[in-house]
Amino acid sequence: MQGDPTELRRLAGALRLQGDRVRLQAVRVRALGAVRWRSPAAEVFRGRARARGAALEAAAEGAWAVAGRLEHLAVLLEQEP
Amino acid sequence: MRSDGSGLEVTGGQGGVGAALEDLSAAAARLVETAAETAEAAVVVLRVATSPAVLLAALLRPVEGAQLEAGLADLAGPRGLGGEAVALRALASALRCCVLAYAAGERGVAQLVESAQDTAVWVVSRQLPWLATGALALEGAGVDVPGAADRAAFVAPSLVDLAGGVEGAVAGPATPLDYEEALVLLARAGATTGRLSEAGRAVVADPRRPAAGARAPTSVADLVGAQLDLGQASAGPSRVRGVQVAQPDGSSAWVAVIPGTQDWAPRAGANPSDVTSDLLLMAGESTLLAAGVTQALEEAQAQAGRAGLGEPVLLAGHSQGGIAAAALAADPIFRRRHPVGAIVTSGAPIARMALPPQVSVLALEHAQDPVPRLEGAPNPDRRSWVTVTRDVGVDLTADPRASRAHDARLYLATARSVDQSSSASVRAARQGSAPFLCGDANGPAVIRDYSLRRVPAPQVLVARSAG
Repeated sequence: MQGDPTELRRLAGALRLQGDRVRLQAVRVRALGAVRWRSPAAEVFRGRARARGAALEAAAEGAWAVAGRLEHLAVLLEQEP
Repeated sequence: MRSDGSGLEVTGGQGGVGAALEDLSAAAARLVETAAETAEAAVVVLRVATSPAVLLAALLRPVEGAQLEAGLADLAGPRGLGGEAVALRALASALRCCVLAYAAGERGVAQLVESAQDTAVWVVSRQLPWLATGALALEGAGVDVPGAADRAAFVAPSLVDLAGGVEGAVAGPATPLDYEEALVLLARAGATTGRLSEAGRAVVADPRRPAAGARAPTSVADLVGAQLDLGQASAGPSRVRGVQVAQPDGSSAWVAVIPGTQDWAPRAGANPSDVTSDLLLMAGESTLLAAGVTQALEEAQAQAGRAGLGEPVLLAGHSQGGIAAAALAADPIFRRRHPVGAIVTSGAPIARMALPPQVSVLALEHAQDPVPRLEGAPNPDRRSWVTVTRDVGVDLTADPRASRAHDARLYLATARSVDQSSSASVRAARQGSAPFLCGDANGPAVIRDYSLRRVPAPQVLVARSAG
C-alpha cells in the first residue's frame, strides 16, 4: 500500500464537518428572508438571501461530494498492492 | 402608526419601525458572521487541497487525483465558498446601507419639524405683546379666552406641538439651544422673581391608610385607577403609593404610583406636585418631588425589611406623575439603587426623556390631549417603547375641550382598552410588566401610601452694617 488512506479519510471527515457547518449557515441565511420589512428593496433583499442560501446549500453538497472522492481515493490506495 | 382594531393606534414596541430597523441591523450582523464562517470553511478546503496526503495520492492515482483537485478548487474558489463569503459580505453591506438610509430619513424629518417649530414659536413670541393686548380686549368684551383656547386645542391639538419650539422663543430660530436648555433658561428667569424654582428638602410623612378599595394593580387600568385614587382631594396633597408585590421566588417587585399636578400656583409651596416641579422635570433638572418619591419607595422597602436589595420597580403616573416616573427611570443613579423594569404613563410629555432600552415604556396618550404634545416631539419608535394613542372625540362630543381630553378618568377607559388590545407590541409590553401586575398571586401584596411635602430652605439673612 502506498500513500496515506487514513489521513485521506480524516480529511474527508473534516470536509463533511465543514459541509454541515455551511448547510447550517444556509438555513440561517434563508431565515433572514423572513425579516419584518416591506418595500421593493426588501423584496430584492429576500431574493438575494434566497440565492445565497441556495448557493451555500450547493457548496455544502459539494463538500460532501469531494469528501466522497477522498474516501474513494483512500479505498483505491488501500487496494494497491 | 398601526391600529389594533379596537380604536387604539399603536407605535413602537415589537411591531414598530425602530424594532424593524434593529431586526435589519441584526440580520446584517448575522450575514457578516455567516460570511466569516464560510471563509473559514474555504480555508479548510484549501488546506485539504494542499495537504501532503492529497498531493501524494494525486501522484499515485493521477486520474482520480485530478478529479479530486478540480472538485476542491471549485469548492474553495470564486464559484464556491470563497465567492460566497464575498457575496455574503456585500449583501450585509447593502443591508446596512438600507438601515442607515432609513435612520437618516427619520433624523431629517425630525430636524425639519424641530426647525419649523423653533421658527414658528419665534414669530409668535415676537407678537406676544399684541396677542396679550388682543386677549385682554376679548376678555373685556366678555369672551372666555381660556375656554376658547381649551376648545381650540381640542380641535387642533397639533397647535400644541409648537411648545416643542420653546428654544425658538428663548433664542430665535435656528438656535443651537436644545429644548431642555431653553426650559432651564426659562426656569432661571422665573427664579429671579421667586417663581418656578425650589430650594429645600422633601419630607415623606409616615404611611397613610390607603383609600378604601385600594388594591394591588393587576392591569394597566388598575395602575391608572390608582392614579385617580391618589389625585382625589380627600387623599390629601402629593400622596405617593408604594405596592410590594410578592414574587414566586420569595423576592418582591415594587410598584410606585405618582400623582399628577395638584397645585397650579407658579410659586413653589409645600406641595411638590406643582407647576414648578413640572417645569424642572421637563428641563431635566433634579426636583424635590423626585427626591420625595425615591424616599417614599425606600421607606416602603425599609418597612418591609427589604431595603437595599435592588428589587425591580415599575413606576406609573398620570400627567406630572408620568413625567416624574420617566425622569426617575432616566436617572442612572436612581436605576442603580432601584432597577426600573417598566414605566406606565398616561397623558405625560416624556418623548425627550433619555430612557434606556432596558426600561419598558408604555405611554397612553389621547389624540386631543395637549399635555403629551408639550414637548413637540413624538415618542421614540423602538422595541421597548410602546405608545398607544386613542381618539377621544366621540367620548367628548358634548364638551369638546382639551382639558377634558387630559382627564385621568378618560385615561382609565383607554387603559381598559389597552388591557384588551390584541396588538403584538401592547401584548409584549403587558407581558414585560407581568411580575409587577400579579397582585396577590404569590402572597398578599402590601399597599403603602405616603404624603410628600416640600420644606423650603431656611432663609439666610445678611445684616448690613450702616454706612
